[in-house]
Amino acid sequence: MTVATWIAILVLGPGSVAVFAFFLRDLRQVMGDRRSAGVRNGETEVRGPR
Amino acid sequence: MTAAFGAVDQAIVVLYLICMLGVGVLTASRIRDFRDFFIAGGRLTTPLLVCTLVSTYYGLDVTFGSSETAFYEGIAAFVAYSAPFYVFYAAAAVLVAPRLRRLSAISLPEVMGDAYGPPARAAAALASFVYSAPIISVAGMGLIGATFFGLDPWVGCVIGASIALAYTVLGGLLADAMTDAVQFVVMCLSAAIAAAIVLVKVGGPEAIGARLGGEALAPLGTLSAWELLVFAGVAMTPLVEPAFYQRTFAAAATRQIVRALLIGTVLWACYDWVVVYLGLAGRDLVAAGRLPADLDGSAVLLAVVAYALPPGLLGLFVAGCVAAAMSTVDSYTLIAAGNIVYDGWQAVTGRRLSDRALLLSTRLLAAVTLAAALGLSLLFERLRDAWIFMSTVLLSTVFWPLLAVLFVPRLATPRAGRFSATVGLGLSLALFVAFQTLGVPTDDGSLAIAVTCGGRSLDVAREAGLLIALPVSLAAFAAGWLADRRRRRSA
Repeated sequence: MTVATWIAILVLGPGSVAVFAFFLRDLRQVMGDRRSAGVRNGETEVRGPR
Repeated sequence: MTAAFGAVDQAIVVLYLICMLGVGVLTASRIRDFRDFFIAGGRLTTPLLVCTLVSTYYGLDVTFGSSETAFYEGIAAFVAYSAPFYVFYAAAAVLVAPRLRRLSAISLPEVMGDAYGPPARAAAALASFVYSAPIISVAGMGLIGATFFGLDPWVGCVIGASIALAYTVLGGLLADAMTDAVQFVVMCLSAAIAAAIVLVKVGGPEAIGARLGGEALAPLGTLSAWELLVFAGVAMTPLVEPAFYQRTFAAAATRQIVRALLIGTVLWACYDWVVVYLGLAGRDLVAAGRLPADLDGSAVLLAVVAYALPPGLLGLFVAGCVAAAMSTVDSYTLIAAGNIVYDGWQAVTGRRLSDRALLLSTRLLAAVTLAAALGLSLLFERLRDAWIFMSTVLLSTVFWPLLAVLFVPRLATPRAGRFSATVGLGLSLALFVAFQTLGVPTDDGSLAIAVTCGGRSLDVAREAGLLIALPVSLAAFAAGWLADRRRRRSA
């Protein structure tokens, strides 16, 4: 259980910083115009019944 | 203010709060309509979704509530209470999110309304409001203000809630998600650092178990069978969670939200484990006489970190707790207010509001929501009980109808959803009122009513309401479906 605690600490500490770094990479897309986020990586979807 | 909490710590917390307000002002100019405000224009990507999901869903209810449960029940807080959730987080990612993305709704009650009509939408809006009113996190901010700044609890509540309200009202979900990103990293980092230092100072769970006795590490602790059943039931909440639904609709693409929920599941598990460990360490420190013998379970986490962390790091941890609280307060305030205006009002009156009216009303109602949350927080002695009450109302109202919409659409007939939602909502609220008025206090801070069944007297606790309301809601769903089938056949 002590090992599990250390693993949780490592995932939570460096892991959260890594996710935050990826968020900063996407920041311009998220803040930009409505279409840009998905258009640049080809992931924009039109939602709704199909 | 505690002796260990100095000017540097206070400055860190104040700086953090100013940054949050700055983000709200920056994002405010991006809001053009209600869709921008409520689902950030549908352009959130995986990293931001991870940040906002993790920090929103885990507020002070988890941070203080899990450590409180670990303080009383030991490692069972993780095994019996937290672990069942991971199955349903994964199910929400793989099974629910892709199906939700095929719908054109932007909120949970709207999904109900599209399938079952306005009464079901109104019932779902009210249940979502009760579930989303940030009762625990508002109360928790009062606790932080009192512990570290020497403020009256209500002053801490009002200051923290007002700042969260300010940036949410300005920038909606986009401001909320952006501040969540900062709050996510602050809460995760601070918990990790606190756990690492306590681990070195106090020892690991095995060492603590050896000092406290085997009961502290027993997987199911001293929990009764009905408590385990309630925990397992509450763990189904992620399948019908309003914040999950909102973020699913706000994602730029389906795979972005699926990935975010799966990554979030790993982070949630780690956060749970760390917080449970800190609660267990608190019990050990009380037994050793290094923390007060009369320490309340809800304050154990703060007491442990105040004991273990040096100045500066203590400020970071308190900022992390404030972050955990604010990320929950802002998100759920937005959802609760949006549900009442966008779903409740439009369903009851049958009138569509303009974007301008929707934005203005949602912003105004956000303030009312926070005031209601503050009032409700006074009704619960244990944080976990408040969370179970809120989940009971939500699950009893929307669980069966939503599962039908997503997985067995041919069962989703109008009466089925309407009966299930209204009966579930009414019964869960009626049970709560009955326990509050007729119940007698129990040893663990809850309320119970004595019921005689077959000559045997049985104490039914308030938290067992879920085990009554959820099956009745299913029966109402079946009755409504049968009524619709009979009507179709006779037509």
